Amino acid sequence: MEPLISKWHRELELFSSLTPLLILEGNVLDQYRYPIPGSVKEDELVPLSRYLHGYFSDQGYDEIVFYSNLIGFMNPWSPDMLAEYASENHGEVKNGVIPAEFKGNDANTAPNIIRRAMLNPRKASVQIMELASHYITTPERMDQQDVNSFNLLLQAALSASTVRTAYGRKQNLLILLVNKLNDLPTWFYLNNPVCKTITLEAPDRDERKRLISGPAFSSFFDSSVYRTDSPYYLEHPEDLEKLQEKFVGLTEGMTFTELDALRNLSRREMTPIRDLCTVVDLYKYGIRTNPWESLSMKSLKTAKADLEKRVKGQDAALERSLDVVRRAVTGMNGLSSSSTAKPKGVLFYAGPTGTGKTETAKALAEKLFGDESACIRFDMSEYGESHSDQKLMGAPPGYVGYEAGGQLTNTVRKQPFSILLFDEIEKAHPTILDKFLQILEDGRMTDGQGNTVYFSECIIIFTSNLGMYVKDAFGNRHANVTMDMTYPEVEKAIRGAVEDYFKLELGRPEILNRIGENIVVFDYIRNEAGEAILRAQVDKIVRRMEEQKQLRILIPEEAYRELHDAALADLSNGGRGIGNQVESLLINPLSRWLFENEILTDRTITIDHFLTASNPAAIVCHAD
Amino acid sequence: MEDKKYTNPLDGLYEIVGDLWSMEKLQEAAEKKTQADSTKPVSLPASQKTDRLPSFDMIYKTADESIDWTDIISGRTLPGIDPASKRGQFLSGIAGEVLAGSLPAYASVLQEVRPLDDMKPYAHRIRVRALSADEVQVTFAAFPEDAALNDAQYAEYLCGIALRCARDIFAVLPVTSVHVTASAKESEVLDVTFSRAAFARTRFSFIDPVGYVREQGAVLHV
Repeated sequence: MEPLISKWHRELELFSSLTPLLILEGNVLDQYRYPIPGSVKEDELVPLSRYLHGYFSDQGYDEIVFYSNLIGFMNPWSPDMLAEYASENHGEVKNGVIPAEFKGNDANTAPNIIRRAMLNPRKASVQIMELASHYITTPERMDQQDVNSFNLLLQAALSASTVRTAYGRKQNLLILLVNKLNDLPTWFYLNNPVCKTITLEAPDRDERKRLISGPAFSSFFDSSVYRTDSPYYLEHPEDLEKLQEKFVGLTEGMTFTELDALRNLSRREMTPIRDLCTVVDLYKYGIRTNPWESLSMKSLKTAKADLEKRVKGQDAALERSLDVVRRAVTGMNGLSSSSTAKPKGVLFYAGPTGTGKTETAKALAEKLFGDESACIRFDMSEYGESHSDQKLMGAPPGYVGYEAGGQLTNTVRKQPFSILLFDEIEKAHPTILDKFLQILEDGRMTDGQGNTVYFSECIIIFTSNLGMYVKDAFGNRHANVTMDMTYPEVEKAIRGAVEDYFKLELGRPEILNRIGENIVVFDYIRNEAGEAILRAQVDKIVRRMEEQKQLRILIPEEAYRELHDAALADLSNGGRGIGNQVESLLINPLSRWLFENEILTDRTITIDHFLTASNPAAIVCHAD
Repeated sequence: MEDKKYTNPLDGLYEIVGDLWSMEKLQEAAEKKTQADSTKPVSLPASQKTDRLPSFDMIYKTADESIDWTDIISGRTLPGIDPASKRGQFLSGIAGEVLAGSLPAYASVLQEVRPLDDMKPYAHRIRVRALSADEVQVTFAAFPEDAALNDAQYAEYLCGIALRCARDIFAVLPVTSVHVTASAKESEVLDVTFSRAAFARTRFSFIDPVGYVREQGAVLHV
């Protein structure tokens, strides 16, 4: 296989011969794949320190040492190099290390030893300072000794010698490994011509592909599994390619250490080759069977009819929602993008109030995950402040509430297979929309505690009342849609207004792009749907009264018409308005009548009339 | 490699003759055993002679270091094995054939690694035969039932040795099952087949060996 060399390795190759001070920042705690044959085996995953030791050994450096402020100078791979380094630079090896404090006044502090080594024109040396983020508390609170120590390191870099070796001229090097660049004092690296910062990223697609293909592929499997399963894949390389591609997509954002853990997990669990990707679910969510994959096609074929039992009069909206579900189930949700780690689907529900937006989300959750509690609702009006993102994602270290984590991240960690319903999204603070951008694009989020939470098994639904009203040139609100408009007119008007809101009012067209074509407009509750909703609600009440109280409620057709006419007189408040009418016209008067007549159980009650005009509403009944 | 592979006339057969267990020694051990305190934890006479040997009721709790054949063919560094050593070169040279399920390759591995040599103190005439790429058969002659142990201890001895033999075979060969047969005084006393998948889920430190072996469908005549 052709060598695959990462960007940071190429930068290291280039700048190690040009600048004496290198700062490696970012993913420094990870392992890395050694890309070329040398003193480390090609394609072997090794810790960064081993990687750097191998690389600089192969480059012909005489002395390579690692410094930790807790231990001192060390070199676990070449103790001879350490001994030579000690004798050259007035250090002393004790128990395999050269003890040296990071700060202090004597001549044997680490910066002084490093300075001597960097100035030494006889030996080409590399000093690698590990966990350099932790040498000082914060760059803003350094004492004079901290400043002196960094100043010595800076001076060492400024006056570093170049050494003639058998491998050519080598620059003495000082390398700091830091989590974040701003863990170091700004004056140390900013506008510093002898300093180069190299960022270490999580493995990209090519790196992940390399790890799961070619000779490395077999290492993901138990020997007996590989012996049994591999002949099929040798005969069907196209299936192997598909499997590897899927794995690469699912592992986006994972570190090498995590990928190595997947390898060990797969072997330990004796995962068959065809089920390789289930290991990713096992690692991320602790489950082996993905609920998405266990959904039956038969059950989905009846999904629309099932949803219609709960949501009336929204034929088009239900169809659009189910399209997203079908895409998720058939695995076609990631086809239009390079990332398969994105959420399973994104829906933006808009339309008049009380038309079944939340109910649809709950019904979908019940259909997909067997329980409507898998629909997790966030009322975004509670996240209207600029700091609200910390409530959702968790506060950073040192801030109040850090330990508690974020409401959203905690929830998704506990329930990764869910429908996340963000109600009234337009009421959230715009900074939160930035967080959503990341979730929609990458399918993951790192909370304040540093835990990565994956959204790739969720459906995300935003609801909004955007587009119901528009403002004119004078800032006055006007209804944008009315009940006398047809559904296509309502849809067009609301969709246009939503698009205008994101593009013009909010100035964030990129959010609209992430939602794509998934704006689903709910229609007004029209007469036919209203009748169905009323009938369903009345039936439910009658059924429950019989089940719970053994009270049989009879409503003759004539009386039902009275209730019907009053309840459906104004449909502008949608299904919720009908529910309110049922409560005030049926439930309240009925309970009052039962109470007054001291009827608690086991009777048959006939409602003869609904006195809808009286205040409060009343009923005329008799009990048998 | 090719020459070595076919030196064994019976492909896949590998035999260890446990020289420690002559009948005379067994008899002697049994006599000593009957004089010993019956409440004291029982171990085999061989283990009494050699302090380093674990007693039979502990033997199944450990197993040989496994050979990760898929790691070898993927070129990964194996902990504790120098790739340049004779053992390292042997393993990397034969890994492809082993993963292809070659029975001669299995036999070569058994000859080279000798996974059951450490069972010599516990059983006699240990034989290993690869029945197919999936299954290996291990047979051994147990010491006689009346030699030293009561029934429960004897069952524990048989099952412990059977488990350990199977674990050692799973550790070195990519087979999916190991069939173990034990005989004593020319009669079969144990017949059981272990599956690799079940072993992968088992925490051997916590099992009752007799109960576990019975759960695998064993025929145990004690």
